[in-house]
Amino acid sequence: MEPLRSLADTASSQYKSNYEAMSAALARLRAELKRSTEGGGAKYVERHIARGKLLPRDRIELLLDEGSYFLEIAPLAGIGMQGESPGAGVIGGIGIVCGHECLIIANEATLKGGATSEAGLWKNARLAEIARQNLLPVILCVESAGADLPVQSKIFVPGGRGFRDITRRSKARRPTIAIVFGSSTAGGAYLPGMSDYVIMVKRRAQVFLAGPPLVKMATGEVVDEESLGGAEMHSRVSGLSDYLAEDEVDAIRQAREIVSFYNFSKPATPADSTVFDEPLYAADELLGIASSDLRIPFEVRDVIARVVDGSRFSEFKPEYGPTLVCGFARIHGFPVAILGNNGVLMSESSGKGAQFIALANQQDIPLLFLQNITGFMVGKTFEEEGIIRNGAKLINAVSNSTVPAITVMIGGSYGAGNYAMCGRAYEPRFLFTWPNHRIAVMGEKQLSGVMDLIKRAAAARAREAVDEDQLNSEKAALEGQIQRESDCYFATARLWDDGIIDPRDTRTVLAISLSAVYNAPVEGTMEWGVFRH
Amino acid sequence: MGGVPALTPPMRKILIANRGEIACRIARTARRLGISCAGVYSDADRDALHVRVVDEAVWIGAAPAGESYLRIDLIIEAAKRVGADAIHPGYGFLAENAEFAEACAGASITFIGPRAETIRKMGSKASGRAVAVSCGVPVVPGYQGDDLEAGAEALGYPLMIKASAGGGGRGMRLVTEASQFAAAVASARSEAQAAFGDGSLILERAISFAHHVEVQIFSDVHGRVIHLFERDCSMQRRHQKFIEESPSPAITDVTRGHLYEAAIAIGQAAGYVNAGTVEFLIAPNGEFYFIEMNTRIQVEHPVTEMVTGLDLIEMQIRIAEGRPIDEFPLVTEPMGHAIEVRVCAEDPSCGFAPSIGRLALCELAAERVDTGVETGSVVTPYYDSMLAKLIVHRGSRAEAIAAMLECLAKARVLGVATNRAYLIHVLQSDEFTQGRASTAFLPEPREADAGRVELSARALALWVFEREMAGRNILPAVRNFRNSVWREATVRLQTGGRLIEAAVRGTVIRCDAESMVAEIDGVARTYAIAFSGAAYLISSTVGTFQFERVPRHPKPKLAGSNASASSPMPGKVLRILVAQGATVSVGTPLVVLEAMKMEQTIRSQMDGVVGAILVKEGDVVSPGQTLVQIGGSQEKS
Repeated sequence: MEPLRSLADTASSQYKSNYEAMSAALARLRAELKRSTEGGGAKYVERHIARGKLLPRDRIELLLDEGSYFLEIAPLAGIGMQGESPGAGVIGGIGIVCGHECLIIANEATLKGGATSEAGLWKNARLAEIARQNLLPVILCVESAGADLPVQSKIFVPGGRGFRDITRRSKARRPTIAIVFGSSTAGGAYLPGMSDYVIMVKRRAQVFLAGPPLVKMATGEVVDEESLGGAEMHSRVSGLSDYLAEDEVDAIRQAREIVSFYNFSKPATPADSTVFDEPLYAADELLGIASSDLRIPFEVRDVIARVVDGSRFSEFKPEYGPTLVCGFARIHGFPVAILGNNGVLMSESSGKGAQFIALANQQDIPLLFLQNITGFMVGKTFEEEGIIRNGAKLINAVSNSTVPAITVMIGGSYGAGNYAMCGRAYEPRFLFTWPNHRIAVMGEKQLSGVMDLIKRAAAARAREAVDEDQLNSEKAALEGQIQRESDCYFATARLWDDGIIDPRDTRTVLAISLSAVYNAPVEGTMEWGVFRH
Repeated sequence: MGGVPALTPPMRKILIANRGEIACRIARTARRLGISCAGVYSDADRDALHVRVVDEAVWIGAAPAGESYLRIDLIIEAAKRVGADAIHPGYGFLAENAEFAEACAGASITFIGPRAETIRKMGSKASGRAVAVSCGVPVVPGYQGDDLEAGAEALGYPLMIKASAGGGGRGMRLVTEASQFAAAVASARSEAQAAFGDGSLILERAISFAHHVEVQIFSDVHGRVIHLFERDCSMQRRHQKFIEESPSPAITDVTRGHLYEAAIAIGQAAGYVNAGTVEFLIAPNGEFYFIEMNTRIQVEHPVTEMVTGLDLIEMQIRIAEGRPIDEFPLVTEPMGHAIEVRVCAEDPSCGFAPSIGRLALCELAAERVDTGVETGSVVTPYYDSMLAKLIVHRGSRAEAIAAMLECLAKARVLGVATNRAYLIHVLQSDEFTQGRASTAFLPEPREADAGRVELSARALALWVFEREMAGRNILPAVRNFRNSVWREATVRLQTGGRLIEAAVRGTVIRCDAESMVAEIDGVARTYAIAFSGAAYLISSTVGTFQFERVPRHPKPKLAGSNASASSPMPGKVLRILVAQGATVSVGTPLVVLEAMKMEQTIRSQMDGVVGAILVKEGDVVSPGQTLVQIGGSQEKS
């Protein structure tokens, strides 16, 4: 298989301006990520440390094997949202503990006492979904004041799902360890309550359904927190705690000891992930390749050449339906079936994509979508040739495919193209975003323009004069709103993705994701919905 | 003695009544001469190298020397069991024990060494001095008698206390003022008693800034006494030599001539037979004093062998057979310059405390290496701490020093701390290179250059991560990846009591289980790495450093308000100096330990009251073991 020949011209002004814009976007990303690690701020972090406690990220670091990766999921969930903090008070990701890929979730204890916000709830739900789909064991680092009470209405009812998920994982033979580092009360008490293994840290863990004030209110009983729900009580009397830890590090050590006895192993993967070639082209060049102005298309093969092993790509139907590039490649040895946009989706490219997805399913090969799509082609000719019917074939294939899919938003994501290219609603196992990404039903200019036309048409029907000033200001306001809502931070805040990544990390992030999906059997299907013709 | 001495028949089998490098050394010559040899070993030495290099070896008892290597009866018994017709005592243990020499004679076994009466006469510092005085050789003013207190008064300070029976620094103390005298006498006496079975002591005036120069002599049963030039052994720590050379850089040819004459005169006056060493102190003004005579082969004999081309062990054997010295090809001038260093298992960063453990790696190379250990050997607390002697022989002193420095730079020992870096430090000092280093020259161990330590730590951190990855079956090529921003990965390492958080930053170019080529801060170097458990040794052009990995998940420390005194090193509890309930303050002596034959006093680090005493006299303790608990007097519970 011949390696791809990159067409990117690193000397072009386009490349340079893209590179500059992407570098600035990455500087912002790093700043936002840095901010997301600051918990509740210096004061609370210092207080936490002064109490001899480990910061939640250090708890995770100590859990991980030395040298292990940690792919943090949705690190900027909640960013920019009312009453939320970047990260949404939860840290979660995939890393290696005693040779097992585990999903680790830690409460950001210095932020509102680790209380769960609405975005935090979404993030927890997403993390639980990742664990369920990929059959990953879970380690919970619990230190949470419970629900953020003022927003309880948004949390209480859906929040119950988290406890259900723990026991369903248990049934699927993927244990959950709860290490209780601090408070875990009321509803939160069911985190250890439902877990397979519970470790409580002496003099730190407090687990009860109701704290002393509520107990006194309810029954008049006067009791202190330690005897009501301390680690020693739960380890010696109630039996809720299985392991009593002397201190935090001891608790982490015990958790690792438990994992070291997990007696399941990953199903065999088709990959020899130890022998492969790095891409022939530098990942850094992705910064100049990805368009900062999404109206300017860029060659998806130039991206593929910087992501796959040896830049080798076995392209399927290269001469047919050229706006959707399809082909097989390997990433760290894992085979992938790649679908990447090279322009707007046409009838031919849709049919080609559907066929290619079926082939990947036939061979149990995971899908990788590189999404940079303005949508399906519009216009009289295209409607007549059945663009809807043909697009539906692709959506049918994406919807019913059972091999794991991973989606990377490398540019725009507009209209039904989002669906056809395995957007969030189509449940890719992982979905990551580049910082240049924009997402909406359509571009802000088109959307505000469409609305303007509709308003003018309505006014014309009503035989009313149009107030140009008002229409223009409404149009500008709407354009501004859509522009804000199309921003990748708006998307990542709402868990529309699993995180914004540095394009240069794409290959590594995909390798980690592919390795994770192979914890569950990778099995394609030959069963599809009825294909329209 | 009179008449013509009888020529004994050639030896057929020698029992080597010793251990370690000297046992191996003697076996080497015996084999070359076609004489079979047998060894002895204690419980601690069953797997020692010296047991394997002899034809057969006899178990003689428990690990403490007093129950094995110092047991005359057991050694004679062993010689009989293997049918040995001669015994070589080596140095230390029974080498200068007249009763042992007599016991050999009584069992019709040839003792390879001087006659018992000579040992008795010259082995005692007191009568040895008398012999020197009778030859007109100046002696260091001193006192021998029962009233040491009065003797000290008369001599003045500083003075040396020495074991009358001893050698090798055992029972030796430098006392600079009267207030220290009583305590020094007590501990010297007990050390002498333990080491030689004889607690008698003598006093000598301490000569400052002197050089220690000794003359090797040999005499045969026919009455011929010769000298084999001198050795300079001025580099001593705790009266243990650690660098020796021949010839001495510190004396004039005139002095040299006087020393040879004096040594031969003393040998003749003593009616000496076999190998002996006459030790002198050379004062800064060139005056010399007889100190003592050692009636055995010396640790440092190889430097003499280098500059004379002789095998002194062979000479000892042949002379014991009654052969004349004339049979050996003697040179009139020393040939070139030889230096020997003693690589010891001791920790310079910790007061040169003995270090024990398994030698995960022992790579010592030189023109000549005399050693009793190898990779895999265990260094126990029962015997002295010397691992090996490295010997080089060159045309000039400067060349010899340079050659030795290269050997030391390449030496790699993992499993115990060693004085390797300290030896380099001394060999590089101006005092030493210029030949000015006297017995007073004892530089403090140099703190390893922080930058070099740091760089080596970072290289090790890279290697540790790289190896962790190599052993992983999940994405071995994805190293320590983070998509968020948190702290840099580090490996916590400890060296010489210092904690280093070594950043995992750099590029590994090549890596295997023993070495790595890595680029750190823009410089690529090759690093050789060895490890055993949590201990790592990393060598490169920036130096060789040992690190201990700090566990990532240490066992929790159980909370308690009491402090305690613990053993800094492996050893045996000699005396417990406090009782439960006693009030102690910072510096109060609590326990005396003996480790590798040296005494060490453990003192209280705090004011308080003695709680539990967790050891008893005679207990063998390990490093870090709690000996005495001390309750804080002003601590609130």
